[in-house]
Amino acid sequence: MSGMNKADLQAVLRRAAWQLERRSAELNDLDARTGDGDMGSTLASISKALCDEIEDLPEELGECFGGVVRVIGATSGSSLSAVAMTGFHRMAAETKGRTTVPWPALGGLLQLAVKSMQERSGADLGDKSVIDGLMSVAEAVSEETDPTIMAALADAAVTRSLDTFRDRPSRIGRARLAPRQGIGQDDPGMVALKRVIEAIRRSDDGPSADSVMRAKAGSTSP
Amino acid sequence: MKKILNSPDSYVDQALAGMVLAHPAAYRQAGTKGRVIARRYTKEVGKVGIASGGGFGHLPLFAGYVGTGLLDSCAVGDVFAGPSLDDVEQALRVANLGAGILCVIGNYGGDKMVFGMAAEALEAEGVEIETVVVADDVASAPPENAVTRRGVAGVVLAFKIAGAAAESSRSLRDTAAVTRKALESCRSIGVALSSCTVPKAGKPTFELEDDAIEMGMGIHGEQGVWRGALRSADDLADEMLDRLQADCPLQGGDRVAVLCNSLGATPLDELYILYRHLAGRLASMEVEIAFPLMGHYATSMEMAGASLTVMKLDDELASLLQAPARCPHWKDLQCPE
Repeated sequence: MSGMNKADLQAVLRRAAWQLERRSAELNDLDARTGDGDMGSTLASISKALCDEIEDLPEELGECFGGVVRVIGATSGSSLSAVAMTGFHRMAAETKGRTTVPWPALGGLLQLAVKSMQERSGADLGDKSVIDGLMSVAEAVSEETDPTIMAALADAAVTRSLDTFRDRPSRIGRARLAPRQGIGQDDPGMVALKRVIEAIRRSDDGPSADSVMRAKAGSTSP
Repeated sequence: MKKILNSPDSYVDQALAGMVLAHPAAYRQAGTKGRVIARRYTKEVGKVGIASGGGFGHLPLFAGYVGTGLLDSCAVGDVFAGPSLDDVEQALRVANLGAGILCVIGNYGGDKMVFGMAAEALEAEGVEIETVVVADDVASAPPENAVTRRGVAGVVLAFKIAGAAAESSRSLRDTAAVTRKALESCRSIGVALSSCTVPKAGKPTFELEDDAIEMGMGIHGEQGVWRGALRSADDLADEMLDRLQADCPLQGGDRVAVLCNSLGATPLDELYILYRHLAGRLASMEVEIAFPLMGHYATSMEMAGASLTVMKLDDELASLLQAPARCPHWKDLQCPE
């Protein structure tokens, strides 16, 4: 069975880094509404540092994810960075010694990463953070075999999370100090995730999220 | 933006370089990028190391308090952004003097997670580590949710207690315990008169009308408890003290440390005007100010405003606060006659 290897991971990281650098101002503006307005700059710094490392990643996936942890660890200490490092660290541990992760297992791997992120940050599902978006993505792609379909499902899942949480208060991070301020606002971490997934999807010219969802629901409409 | 700088990107590194050049006998830069401030001379092998770290823009907090009887090392992040994992890990290695490390940090998500990860890395090598999280800002959460409060100027008093305890050869467990005890009765609140500007943002963090103030604002411009017209110094002092007392009541016979802190632009003159009234109020309650501190301790760059911190003292805490400390920024105003 085919699965994600180093080349796939490199492609995802390249796209993610490119997108996060480009979206820096948008994410800063969003973050400024409930936080200190530096999320876009932080993610752009990490992305820049990541670009220097992507081409030299080793074949072993555990080492690849470990390399991502090292890049973030050397670049930033924001809470989002710490959460991301924790997730990549768990994925490094889970993929140690492996060069491929079968596509159907990717959702499970992501769920383990999200669980570690929750433990580290103290964030619960429902607190309105990137963790909610990631968990919905992990569940949506679980057991899927086609990476193109997975990307579309991920896009639909994070869009759904954004819609679900938009009118809820923020209960974690700096936004927790004035939770009602978050009502009506998208969580910037979830938006960053959405932008990354959009960039990954554009790289594979896959089906639209809507068409995949319709197909899964058994619809015959085009 | 009107600031003395060469470029926003070099703001932190050039300020740190200048700080070390200005105080060569006190500080040295460590870490691969110079983002760890360490004591120039550390002779006390075998004592508990005190480490901290946090975002820049609050000097003298955090890195300014590296010194004898205070911090052994401090990891420095960007302006209002926590230090990186690498820098925190290196700060902990610098502070590892053979008897364990106590991390004293503010209650901020990124700092807690990064210090947690760095601590795990050293613990895996057999180093004992404890962490004390300072959450003293009463304006940031109600008492029933006190564990989520921000750490503000009370961090400075925590550094002094922890540093003095470590200097007197206490164990890691005792040093952590006495620091936690001090923080149980330490409360702070700030009032902002004007905003600060993060260099890379280039515009004020928040807008505040010329005649307006915000009570309870955090040291990064986090929302306070009310925004309204400027009031007299005595009224402000009353409200700040009342809010601290509502959370941690004082009574006749209590001894306290009082830290009247400038958030950056507010001059010592205005702090003394606040203190005059506070001292009168406390005297009328028969509360003894055993340890007054006034000046720039925990700032938000050029933000105008002040914060008030009150910590209740017993003999042990008073003695640790009064123990000698050597650091360019520790100002003990108790000048013996």
